[in-house]
Amino acid sequence: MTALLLAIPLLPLLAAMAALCVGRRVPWGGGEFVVIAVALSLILLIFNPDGANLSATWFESGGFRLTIGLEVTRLTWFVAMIVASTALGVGIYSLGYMAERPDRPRFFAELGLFVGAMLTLVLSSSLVLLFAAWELVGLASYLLISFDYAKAGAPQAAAKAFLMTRIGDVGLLLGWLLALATIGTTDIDALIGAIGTDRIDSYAITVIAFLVLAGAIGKSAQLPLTGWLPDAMIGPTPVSALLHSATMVAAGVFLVLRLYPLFEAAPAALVALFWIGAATALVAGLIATAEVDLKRILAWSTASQLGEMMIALGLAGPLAASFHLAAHAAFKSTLFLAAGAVQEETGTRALDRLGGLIRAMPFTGAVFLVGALALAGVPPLSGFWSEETILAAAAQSGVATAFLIIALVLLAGIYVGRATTATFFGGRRPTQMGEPGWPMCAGMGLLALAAVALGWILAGQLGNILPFPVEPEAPTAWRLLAVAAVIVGFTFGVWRGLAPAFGSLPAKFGRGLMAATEAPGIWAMQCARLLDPIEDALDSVARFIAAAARAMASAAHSAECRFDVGAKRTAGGIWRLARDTERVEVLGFGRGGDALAAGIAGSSERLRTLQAGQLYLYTLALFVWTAAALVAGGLMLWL
Amino acid sequence: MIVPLTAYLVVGAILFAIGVYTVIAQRAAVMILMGIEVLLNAIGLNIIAFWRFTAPTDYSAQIFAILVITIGAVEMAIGLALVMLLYRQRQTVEVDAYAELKR
Repeated sequence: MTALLLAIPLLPLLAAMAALCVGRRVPWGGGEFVVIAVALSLILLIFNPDGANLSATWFESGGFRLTIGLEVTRLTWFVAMIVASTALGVGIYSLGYMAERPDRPRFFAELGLFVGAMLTLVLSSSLVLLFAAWELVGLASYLLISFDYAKAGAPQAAAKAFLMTRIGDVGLLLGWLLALATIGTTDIDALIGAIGTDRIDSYAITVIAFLVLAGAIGKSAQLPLTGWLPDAMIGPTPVSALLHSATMVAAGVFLVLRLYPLFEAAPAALVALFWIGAATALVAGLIATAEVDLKRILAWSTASQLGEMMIALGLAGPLAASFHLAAHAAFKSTLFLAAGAVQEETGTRALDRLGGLIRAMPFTGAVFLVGALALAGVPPLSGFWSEETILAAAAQSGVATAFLIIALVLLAGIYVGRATTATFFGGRRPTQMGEPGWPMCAGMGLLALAAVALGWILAGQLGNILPFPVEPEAPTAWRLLAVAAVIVGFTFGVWRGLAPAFGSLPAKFGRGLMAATEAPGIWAMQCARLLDPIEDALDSVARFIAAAARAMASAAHSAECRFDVGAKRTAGGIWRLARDTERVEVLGFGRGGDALAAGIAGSSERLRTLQAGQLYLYTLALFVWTAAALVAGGLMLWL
Repeated sequence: MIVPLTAYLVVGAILFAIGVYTVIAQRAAVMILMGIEVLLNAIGLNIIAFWRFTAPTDYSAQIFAILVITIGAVEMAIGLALVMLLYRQRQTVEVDAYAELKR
């Protein structure tokens, strides 16, 4: 089973490769690979038992052990299930959504990368692998937001999202490096196990917690790094749906959940988490009440809902936060997919140009309504249950925090009520449209079903699924108040319709906020622009070098031509010389050699006659020579 | 009367001359082998004579003589065997017929 664990994140990545390679030759543009891969991953996840672990040491150096590995714990299983199932719904939807697009293989490849990276992030048991996947998610979101790169503003929005999340990523990078330096390994379990022992002191824990928090803020679009989220709406709608529910922004919340023991040991970080979450939730909720763009309302609402999760985390309610993460993933992706269907059919997403669509698109309208009611927290839809657990955590810590949650619920009711009314009810403006195709309906329907049912399925079970303590239920008075706030808020929102709920002030504030949060991005851009003169100078130097090289080359060419002529002459001379040599050889040496050979042959013929072939002659010669030698030797002795 | 050394040497020289003549002049291979035997015996006679008259106490010359006789016997055996084979092949023992190398 542990080997199959590896397949969970790898399957979508392989599907991405397949989509990129053969996407043009298959009927759904490679989308079917991604959908099947995600479905298989989901099945594998369901059958992968808690505790499956696949870990290896990447390398060791100087006492530091960098590990990589995947691990199924109860938390990672839960979040991976959310990611995979949301991705499945969105994948099915995008089969229909992208059906008309010729460049959809690229889209599906990037989508597979996005999901695979997010699954790696969730299942990783090592900080270094988590960080790598974290950056990969950032890269995939950049690619997906700028998918329509020709559309005005898309590259800017993508760059903004990338740069702003990168600011937070620096914190995460420093955080895990500090953890590595402190405990000598990147294993998350080792880090969590070291808390409370003397291997890591509370000061280091606090610093690591704050650095990790910076990363989570960037990814989850909390203040002051919120600005990228509404702009990211320019990407294709399935991307928004995925990015806002399960893959991108959930990563921040998941990171805090994964390292929750660390945060528990650093109370200052929890307080910071609470205040950041509260500020983001309120501000984003207020801005959403004044927004007139359907998808931007949903975007601000995402920031607000994530703020609510951060509040729950800050109030030591990780169970509530994970419950809301799941519920939010379901209903927010539903809302986005329905909004995407609306945009596909009408060509716009400005609230003042929509209206009365429920008659033309009853299914989409119903789906959107379900999502909206779930977001608002109408019982018994999923949002109600998760809001209630957050309320329980809040009520435990004080009246003020409970009122904060009630106010957030009220705000959520108002903005989502507005969006619903302005889009689907009221006067019917455009004509000639119908329901989207079946894949889109199927995707939307599946996620809407989850948005409806998830709440009461998980409500009692979550304590068994997740390793976090269960909060006691909120006092009945608070619960009634919350429901009342939902009803009041939703009704108020429905009544205000298109008009901003609280005047135009929040909208202005929103613009101001966007400008303010853009500042870091703009600074980075300006820094980049400062490099322009240097780059120009480098460019001109490079041009100069190129021109000089060209001149040298032409000079070398003419010299070469001259050499060529010279070489031709030399070659001719050598050829003549060779011919003369040949003649000399033929006439002189050849004949001389022949004469010599003939002479040798003749003399050896004469020598031959010495060999008589008669034995007695040989014997005689032997005796004669011996006698001669003896005589000569005797003479020499005697003389 | 004591036969002087010179007499032995003369006999040995005559024997050697007869052997040389036989080896050179005879045409039959068997006769040539016989001449060789005479040559060997002439040398053996010389060795014995020199031993007897110059160093009668040293026995190494006797051993040398026995060695010469042994070599003569062995040479005769191999030589006759070769001649026999040649005769079977050529039906003759005349050495003038064995002139294949002279072509």
